[in-house]
Amino acid sequence: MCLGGGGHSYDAYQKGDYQKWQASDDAAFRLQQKIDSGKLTGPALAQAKRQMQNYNRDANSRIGQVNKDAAARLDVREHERQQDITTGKGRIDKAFTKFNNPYYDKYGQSYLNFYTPQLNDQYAQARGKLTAALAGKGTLESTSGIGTLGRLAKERDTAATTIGNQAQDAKNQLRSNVEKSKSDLYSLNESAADPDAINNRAIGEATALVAPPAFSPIGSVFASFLGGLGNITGPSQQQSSYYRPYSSPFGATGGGSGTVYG
Amino acid sequence: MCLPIIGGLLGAVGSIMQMKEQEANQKRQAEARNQKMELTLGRNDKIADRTKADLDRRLDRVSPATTAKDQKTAAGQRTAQVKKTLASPTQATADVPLSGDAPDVVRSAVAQKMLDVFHQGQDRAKAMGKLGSYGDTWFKQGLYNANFARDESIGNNFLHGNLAILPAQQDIAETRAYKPISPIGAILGGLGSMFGGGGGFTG
Repeated sequence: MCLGGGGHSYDAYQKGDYQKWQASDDAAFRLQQKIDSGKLTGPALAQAKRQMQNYNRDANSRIGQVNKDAAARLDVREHERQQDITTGKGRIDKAFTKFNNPYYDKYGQSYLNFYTPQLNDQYAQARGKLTAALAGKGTLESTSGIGTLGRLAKERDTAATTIGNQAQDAKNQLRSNVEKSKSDLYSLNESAADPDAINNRAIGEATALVAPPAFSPIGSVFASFLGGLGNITGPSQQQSSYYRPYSSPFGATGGGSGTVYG
Repeated sequence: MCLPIIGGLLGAVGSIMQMKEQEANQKRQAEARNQKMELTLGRNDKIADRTKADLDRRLDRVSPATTAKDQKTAAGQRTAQVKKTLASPTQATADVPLSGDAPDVVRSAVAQKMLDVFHQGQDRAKAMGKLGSYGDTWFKQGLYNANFARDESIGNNFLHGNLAILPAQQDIAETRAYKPISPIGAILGGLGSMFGGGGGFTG
């Protein structure tokens, strides 16, 4: 010491200890990812979990040694934080895997299954009234009668294609909501760096997204068509509530997929 | 008489020794700080490389060829969704309650009318698919952006985390690299002063 060149405190980098710790942490991280992926089952899963316990035990036992080197302590903690965020990301991705293309297709089909029967019911009623009116005038089997029935069928198909178009918009809206929820979880994950907490949150959010939104019933589709045929249907029909002024076929949802679930 | 000369020589040697040791210390400390910085930059370079690769993939998805392909796919999907809702012409014809003795020409006229309505419906479905495909294509681009932004955000988080601990690590490395100056130089300087040599760097 008198001649200079005094000793310094424990240096984990020089001793090679830091490199060993990092290798051990990386191996534990890779194993945790394998466990989280769900690909391991049965004995392989049990063995992996035992191995994780060993890794955790090693990590706990070296805390004292790590704390002797301030620089290594910083590195180890930052490395662990980043691994926790990556683990959290993996768990979020796993919770959201069910929101795939078949899921959205099923949602679109549910949308059609909700609105199309209502449309078909209204069409059947409108067709019945029109048929009765045309038969009463003796023009059911005439060119004009067939033409009128054709126009009613076209009106039905026009409304149906609009429903189909809005089903696609509804799928996009749902997908947009899912992506937003996922992005929010990613942000929380980065702030918290707590994989277990974010896993619980991700499962909760994914479950909440599955709950179906409330849809408004279809409005009166053929009111204007039949209203325009008032001279065929006769004055008594005009008293019917069916001849309300035309409103949007899809209740109060208005235009655009953003308001579909109202 | 020789003592002042000897003292001067001793003082000079002492000063030179101290200066050399200080220079060596500064060099060690600078190297230690630089080493930590290079380690951090190396880690951040890996993150930057991954981000760049992700960005290249993202930009590839917005190329004219890819967006054209995406639009074609989107138009097909939307058209298929809309077409599902069309009534079949056979069913539409059967739904018209003609009398049992309606002439064949009437039945044919009804069937033809319903077929015409069906074809018009299909044309409308195609037009809706084409029109909607523009929005669908850019909606998909928005999904790609959201995905890229999420991953890049994590990369940025790691990058800034590495940079945040760098100053502290550099300070620790600098402290470790420091070696106490040997007292020999100071002793020689002192002796030099004693013998009347004057000077002597006390560093």
